[in-house]
Amino acid sequence: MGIQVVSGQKVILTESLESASKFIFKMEIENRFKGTFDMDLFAVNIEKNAIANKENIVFYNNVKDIGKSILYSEVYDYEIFEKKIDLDIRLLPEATDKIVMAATLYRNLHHADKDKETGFTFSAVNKTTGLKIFTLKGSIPANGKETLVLGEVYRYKDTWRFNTVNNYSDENLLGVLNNIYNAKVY
Amino acid sequence: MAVSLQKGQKVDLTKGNPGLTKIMVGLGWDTNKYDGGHDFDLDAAAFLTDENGRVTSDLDFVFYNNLQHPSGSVVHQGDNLTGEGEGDDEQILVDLSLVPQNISKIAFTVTIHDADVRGQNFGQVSNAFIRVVNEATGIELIRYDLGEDFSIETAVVVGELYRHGGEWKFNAIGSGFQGGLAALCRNFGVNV
Repeated sequence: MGIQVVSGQKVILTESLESASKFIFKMEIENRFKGTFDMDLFAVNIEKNAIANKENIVFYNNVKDIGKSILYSEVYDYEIFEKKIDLDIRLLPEATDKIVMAATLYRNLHHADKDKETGFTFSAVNKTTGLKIFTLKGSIPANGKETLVLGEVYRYKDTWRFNTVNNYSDENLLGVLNNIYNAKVY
Repeated sequence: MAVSLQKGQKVDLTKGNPGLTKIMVGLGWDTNKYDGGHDFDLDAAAFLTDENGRVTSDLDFVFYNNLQHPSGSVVHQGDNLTGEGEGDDEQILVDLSLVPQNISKIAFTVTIHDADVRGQNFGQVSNAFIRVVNEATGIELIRYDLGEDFSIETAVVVGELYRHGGEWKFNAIGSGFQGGLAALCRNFGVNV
């Protein structure tokens, strides 16, 4: 079942650095308006020196990072669009500071009535046990926002955690990485 | 050099600093850039309690609307509405020699103003700290950095001064509450 999280909420993924390390982060987008809305899911590995190697930005056009610690997959169904990030924490490079999970928002302007919006859920599952850890529910507004930062997977002491951000931005993903995370992409 | 504390750690304040009576308690924090369209307004406060952790009067709650305890022992230096800038965001002065004998503890807290309405919590606050400074010399005596142990809490008891064997000690508490200032007031017995 898992918990439903809100902005600012922190969730422990691993109780110790030796415990389970494989997680699935899944985004499900309602296709209520038949292709009018979509979200592209990104996982960005930001290193401790605030640098993001573009080969470690994983999304539909780059489905794995250099170390194959982050893998992307997607399924387009008639009712639900499903985007998935498989994360194996043990394979992350030592230089990793955090993995930013974000989505860019798409709407077909010819069909995106300003009164419409569509819902999505973003959830995390422990791949070893199959148990859902948390769910974040939200919506794609019909206009305005470009990017949604869902959250960050980060290391704190001997644990890996997820920090729920759930913050919409007017900027594109690169702008968010530059201005929110002071990260340089190379 | 200041003693750096871990959560739950207790240290002597006056025993190791003979003659110390006037201290400044500084509290600071940083808020992240995901403000959800609202500014963060964090408020520091002090609760002067008996040995059971309860106030004996609502005036034992010193905060932005009651800046000074009737005894003059605890004085809040005023509300900082934005938390911008380096160093302390809010400061509370304590004259230990003026603390009434029926007061056993002085708890220092931070709450987020209008947290529920603004959708804010301590998971969106980082680098929070409390420090105790010798007011006469400006020397920092104690520092407690709270780390990232908070999540959806909207109020935090950061630390407390307490009497022990005729001396004052400091306890790094770092306990979070949901329910904001109202929950804290109920915890300490203040009528809300």
